[in-house]
Amino acid sequence: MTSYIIKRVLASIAVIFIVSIFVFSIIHLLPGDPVVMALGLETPMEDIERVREEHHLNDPLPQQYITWIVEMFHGDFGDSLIEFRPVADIIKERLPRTLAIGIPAFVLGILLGLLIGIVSAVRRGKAIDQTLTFFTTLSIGTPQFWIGMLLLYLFSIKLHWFPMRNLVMPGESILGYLRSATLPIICSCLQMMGSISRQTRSNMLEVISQDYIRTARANGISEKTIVYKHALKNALIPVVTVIGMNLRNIIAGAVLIENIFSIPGIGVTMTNAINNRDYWVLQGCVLIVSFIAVFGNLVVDILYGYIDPRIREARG
Amino acid sequence: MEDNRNILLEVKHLKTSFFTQAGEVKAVDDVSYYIKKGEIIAVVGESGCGKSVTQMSVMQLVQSPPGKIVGGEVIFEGQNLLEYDRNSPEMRAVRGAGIAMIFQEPMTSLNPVFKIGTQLSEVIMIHKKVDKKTAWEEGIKALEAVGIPDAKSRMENYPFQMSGGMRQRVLIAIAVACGSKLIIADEPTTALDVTTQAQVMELLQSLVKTYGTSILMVTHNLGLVTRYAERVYVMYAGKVIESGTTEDILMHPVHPYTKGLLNSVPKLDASDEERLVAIKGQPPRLSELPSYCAFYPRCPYACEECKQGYPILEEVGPNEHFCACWMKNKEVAHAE
Repeated sequence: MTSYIIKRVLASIAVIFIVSIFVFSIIHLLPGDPVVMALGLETPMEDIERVREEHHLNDPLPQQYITWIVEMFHGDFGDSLIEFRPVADIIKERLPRTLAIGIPAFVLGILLGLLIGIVSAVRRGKAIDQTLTFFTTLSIGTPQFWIGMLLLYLFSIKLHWFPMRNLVMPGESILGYLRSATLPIICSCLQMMGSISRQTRSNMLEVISQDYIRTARANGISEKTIVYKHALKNALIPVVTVIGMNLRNIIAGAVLIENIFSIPGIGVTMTNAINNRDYWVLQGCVLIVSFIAVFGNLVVDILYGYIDPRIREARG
Repeated sequence: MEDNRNILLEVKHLKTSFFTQAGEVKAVDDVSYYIKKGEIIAVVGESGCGKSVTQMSVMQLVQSPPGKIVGGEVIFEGQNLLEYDRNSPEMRAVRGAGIAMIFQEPMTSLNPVFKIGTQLSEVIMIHKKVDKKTAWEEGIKALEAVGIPDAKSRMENYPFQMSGGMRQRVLIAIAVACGSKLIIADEPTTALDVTTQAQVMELLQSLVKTYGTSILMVTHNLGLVTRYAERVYVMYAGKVIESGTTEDILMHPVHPYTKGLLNSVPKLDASDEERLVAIKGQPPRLSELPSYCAFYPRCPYACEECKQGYPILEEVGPNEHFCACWMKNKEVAHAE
């Protein structure tokens, strides 16, 4: 298992390296000179040159890349061209807000998804299965922004149960956090809950008809143990993939959620950076999202190995 | 009749049906048999004749819905198992400990994500009410008892690290560890190669000698029957159509179906001109059974008399040789 983990970690580092090259290329691949685009066409040549120098844009590309990496290791992501302050500060300020919505939504999505999936599989064809299936299909099929607007309209505007904006961080007031974060968390977890529950249900049904489940029954193991131990561990293998793919949604999904619920987090920062051509901010944000995606895949791979000994053997 | 004290399992008039959209399918229709302590018997028949469903019914493991046991009794050690609810603790106590079952597919019959030792000791813990450590120790002993070398390290293996024969031994080890009195082996060797088949069968036979275990083989391999079984039940379309000692069934079969089954087995001493005779036609669909003998459409001896209704099992010879055929007493019709 240890050698398996080491191999996975090394592979992830390789991926991060490749990802960093892509992120680095953003500035050079996008059309137009970033400095001209940022400062405007009427800016005097000297100013443009000065900014280019400041950002090492006149160095040879490999050197630029190395400078960029070294600076990043020192926590320096460059300065925002719009806000005139370090990108690291901006991220440090806004990431917690994104995580305050993303992580609870992620955890809630997994827990509810698993629960609904197991219940539907065990009660297959019964009224409860049909009801749950209806709602999970609905939650997958409905666009997130529309659900978000419906929630806002119903619970904020009509019923006044929750505020429309102004996310309060849990550090400031727990109650305030619960009130202001409930709607965005619900909105952001629904899609994931739906896909995990569908996946869990179909896997459970497939696993429950396997020969080894029949063996377990024939050996007098109780139905509860069979469902929650023997079947679930097998059924979880594909679910882990879905969970891993959703990990990056903690941040990537924030783009939509934060714009709907007016939360000044990474998602809003990223959209603004694109609109304002604030390259260094964009670069920093994309890098964070990529890291989380790679990290998510690493966690999934390790979980795979933990759950399925055959994978450990084959890839170890 | 037999000495009752010696009878381990007696199935009486068992009926299992599947209720599908096409209507009731009688998979097991009025099947009766018994097995004595320390005896090996065989249930023989084509695919889909209800031989496996009969055994699943005994264990109350038929998928429900659509399956349902609609009648009969399953008396194991004097207790009618059908009085227990299928999910009751009493029924679970019988499964694995009283009656163990070994299936056709050793490759898929063990859970791929748990160690052999975990799967083995889990069942031991349930039935023997011992702690984890003791169960693990007993698991090692059981693996040794079924002839698995290096049992201690094998406990740490996962099923995918073992061969088919090894896995079948592990399944037998579970039965041994829990002191099962009856092992129902549903085509235990079909998926194994010939040498492994023999080893597994020898192992099962040795359990009879060592522990006095009874073994019920469900098979279509008449070679296994000849070699190991003392008595045979031949099933066709959900019914027992002939039963008797292995010798009687193989040497003096009465039912045309049994004869057909025997003729379709290759013989070493057959002359070149002699060809294998297949039973013509297909096994009937259980949802479309006639109101008379189900073998009628395929029977070479069929005649109008056969259409008078279901033939019942009647004694046709000494040593409890029974046969369900309208023509059984017409020696002429059965002349070879």
